Amino acid sequence: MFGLLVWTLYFKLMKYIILPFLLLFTSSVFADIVVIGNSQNSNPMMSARDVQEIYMGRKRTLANNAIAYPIDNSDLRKEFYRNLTSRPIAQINAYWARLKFSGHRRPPEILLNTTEIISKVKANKNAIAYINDKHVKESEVRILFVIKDSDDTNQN
Amino acid sequence: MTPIKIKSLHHQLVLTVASIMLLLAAITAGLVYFYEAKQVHDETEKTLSQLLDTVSLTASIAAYSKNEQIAQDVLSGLLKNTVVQRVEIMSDEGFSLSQEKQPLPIGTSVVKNLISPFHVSEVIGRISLHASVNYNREKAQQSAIFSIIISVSLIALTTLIILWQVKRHVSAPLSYVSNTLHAIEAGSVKRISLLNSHKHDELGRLSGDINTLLDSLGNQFDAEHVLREKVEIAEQQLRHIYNSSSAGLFVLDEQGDLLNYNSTFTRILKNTEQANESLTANDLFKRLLGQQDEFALLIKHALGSYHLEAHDFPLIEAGRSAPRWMHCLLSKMIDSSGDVVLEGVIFDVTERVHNEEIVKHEAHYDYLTGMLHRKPAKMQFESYLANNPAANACFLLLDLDGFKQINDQYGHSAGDQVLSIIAERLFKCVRASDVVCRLGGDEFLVILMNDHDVNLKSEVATKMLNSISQPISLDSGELVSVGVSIGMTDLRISQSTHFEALIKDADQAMYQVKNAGKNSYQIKT
Repeated sequence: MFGLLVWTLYFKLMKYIILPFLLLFTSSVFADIVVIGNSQNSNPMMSARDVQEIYMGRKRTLANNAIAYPIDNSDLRKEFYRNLTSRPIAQINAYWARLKFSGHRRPPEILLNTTEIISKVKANKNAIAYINDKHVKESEVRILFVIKDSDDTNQN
Repeated sequence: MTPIKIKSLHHQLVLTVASIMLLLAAITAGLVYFYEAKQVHDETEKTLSQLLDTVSLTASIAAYSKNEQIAQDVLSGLLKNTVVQRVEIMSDEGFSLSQEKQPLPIGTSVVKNLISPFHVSEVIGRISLHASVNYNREKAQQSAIFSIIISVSLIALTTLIILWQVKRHVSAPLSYVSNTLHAIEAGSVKRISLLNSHKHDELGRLSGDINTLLDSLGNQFDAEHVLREKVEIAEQQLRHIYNSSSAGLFVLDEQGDLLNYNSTFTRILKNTEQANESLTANDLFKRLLGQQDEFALLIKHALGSYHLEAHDFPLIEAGRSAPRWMHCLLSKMIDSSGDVVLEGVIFDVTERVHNEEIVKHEAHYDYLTGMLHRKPAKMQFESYLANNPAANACFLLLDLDGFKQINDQYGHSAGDQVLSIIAERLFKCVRASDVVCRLGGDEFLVILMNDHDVNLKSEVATKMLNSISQPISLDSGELVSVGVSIGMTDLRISQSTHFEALIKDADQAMYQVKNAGKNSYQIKT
């Protein structure tokens, strides 16, 4: 009950007061975030829902039933989850804290820089990660999903 | 007064009020229980709903991530609540779990959809909470019992206070008045006394009115007692008069049946010769009635008129030669109940009638000869003619020859003796229905009634001549004899029915005999 109330208040605060300000000053610096996979990943393009379900631990496998290996990008983590789930990063952490406590699931591994992420993706056939689209080289990775840096991506 | 077993007014009131109170309490209990059960159900539903709200986020996460461990934690957490009997959680794409305390029937259930933590519009599962029936029932019962105890206590307390007050102010004084009045006998001097506190209310007025009524009742009793004594004395006197009266008094109804009578009535009617016969007054009266058609006629007359009707009746009884004569008076009366009755008086007038007959005989008959006097003879003749208009009658006028000489020679007593013997002889010559009359001195008249035989008068006359001319032995020893001259006529010869004219005609014929030498008879020509 209390949690829901705090959540709702927080959500409203973010949506109507803080975010517009943030966007006002940061929109020019942000570019689109792209979700990438191993170049050998032959699965079809992913939907926002697919990405969300894998990152939130609801789905463990890719379309070809291989166990997915999602990787978090510490630089873009906040924006990524905001776009993907409309939830602040604190709630995402809390969510994972509960799941971790049950001992069955682990949150995606967090890597600190883009180079490391790309090399990991290149090394693991089932890896999935997200990076700023300006770092993407079509020859190294495969683009699975593009998150437009817009407020409208995941309104609800 | 006989003690009547009565139901106490107050006990009845208490019983009635107590019954109503119990009924009210029962209705209240039912209503309270019904209401409480509904309240508890609503409350339980609210509690369950709030519990679900509390865990909904965690449950959603468990459902979203298909994490059974978290789901189980949620379930066991919920189950710790006393209200909760059973919990179920279901993830659309994953697990379906449930936990419960004991397998008990379910009373209240709340189901809630689990929403995806990241998509508000997306339902990813369901969670449901169930409370047991027993929980609801127990809680409702507890509340109901509490409410019932409170309400019953209040009702009982109020009732007791009201009953106490009613007893103090109404029932007790009322039963005091009732018991006191019950114990008072009509006409006694006892009265109801009431407490001062009731002087000015309805009870005070009631007892006052009762006392007034008792007073007037007592007075009436006294007055009535005095009056009754007077009436009794008067009644006794009247009865004494009625019974000791020398007249037989009786009362008949319209049909002539005997209603009442005094002792003299039976004494008079009773046959003195058979005094021991045990006939009732009615029997005696019926004998009088049965014997006399005239009595029935008297009743009829009395009923038809407003006058006193009187008649004499001869009461012929076995063992008595002469009848006893009853003088009876009857008059019509209307009695107190409006019926027509006949009041009668009866006297024994046998002696009077007897005396009257003697007087009557003396008036009609010659003392010496036993013959009729002239006037009654005339009356008998006229009466005979009136009854038989076509009849003939023969007049024989007789005059003794030689009587005067005997009278002068032997004295009046000898003459009387001669007359007496002649009379005897004359009676023997005629029928009983014929009239034999002494006109005076030595002159006699014989009327032969119903004389149809032409020769009858001559035969009778011849018989008389023979009979009379026989010698007469006087008391003094001398033998004397007389003759007789007879003149005769009848109605046809005289062409008259007049008594005097007929005598005159016969007299003429008789003088012819006298002139022709006496001691013979002559028919008028």
